[in-house]
Amino acid sequence: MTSVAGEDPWLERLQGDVPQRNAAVAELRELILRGLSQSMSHRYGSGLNPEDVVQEALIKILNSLDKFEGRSRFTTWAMTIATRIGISELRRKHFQDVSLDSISFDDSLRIELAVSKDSPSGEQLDRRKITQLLQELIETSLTDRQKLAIRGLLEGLPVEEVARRTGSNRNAVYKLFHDARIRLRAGFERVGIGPDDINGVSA
Amino acid sequence: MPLTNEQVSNLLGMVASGEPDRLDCNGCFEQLAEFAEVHLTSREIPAALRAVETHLRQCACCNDEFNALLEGLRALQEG
Repeated sequence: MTSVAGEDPWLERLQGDVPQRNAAVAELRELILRGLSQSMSHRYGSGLNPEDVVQEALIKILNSLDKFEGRSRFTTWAMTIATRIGISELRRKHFQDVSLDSISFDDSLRIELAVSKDSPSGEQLDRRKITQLLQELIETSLTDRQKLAIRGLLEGLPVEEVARRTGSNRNAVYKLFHDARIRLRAGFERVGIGPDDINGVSA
Repeated sequence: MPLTNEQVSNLLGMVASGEPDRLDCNGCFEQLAEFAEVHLTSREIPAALRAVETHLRQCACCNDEFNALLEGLRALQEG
C-alpha cells in the first residue's frame, strides 16, 4: 500500500498545471466529503455539517503536501488530516454548546469516603483501603496541574477541551494525565497492590 | 466538590490500565495513516507501529479519531 511520495499520482496532479490541479482538488474534495459524512454523522451530537470543515481540511492538506512521505496511500494520509480537523471541530462545537456551569471543574480531587452504619463486607473494606490510598497518593505525588487535568477528564471533557479551557495544548494535557496515571499506579505497586486488585474494586 | 463514586471508579480504572506511552498525540497522528492501513488489511502490526497501538489504548481522543478515520476510509472503499 505504501508508495514513494514523489511518484504518487495524486501529488503529481496536485502539483501539476492549473486544469490538472483543479480537477485533482475537486476529486479530493469529493472523497473527503464522502469520508467525513460517514465519520462525523454520529459523534458529539453531530452538530456540524461536514461541508463546513471540508474547505479547512483541503487547505491544510494542500499546504502540507511536502510532509507526505508516502508511508501510506495519499488518500489515507489526506483523510487522516481531514478527520482530525472534522472531529476536533465537532468536539469544540459540542462543548461550546454545553453550559459551562454544568461542566466547570476545579483542581480538587477530594474523595469522600463513604461511612456505612453496617459492618462493611470484605469487598467494601478493600475498596475503602484502596480509595484511601488513592487519596493519599493524589495528595503526595501529583502536581496541581495534573489534578486539574484529571478532574477535567473525569468531568467528561476530552483532552482537547481540557487544554482549551486551561490555556494549554493537547499534547501537554495528555502528558500531564499520562504521567499522573503512571505515578499513581507506581504508588499502588510500591505497597503490593496491582492492576487486578484495583480493577477488583473499581467495577 | 468531592469526586462521585462513579468518578472514583473511573479514576481507579484509568490507573489500573495506565501503561508507559512514549508518544504524545502529535506523534501518534504522524503515524496514524500508516497504522490505519495495517489495521484495515488485518496485517500484523510492525514493531515500528506498536507505539501507536499503545497510545491509542491510553488516549481516548486519539482512539476516537482513529475509529472515525476507519469509518471514513471504509466509506471510501465501499465507493
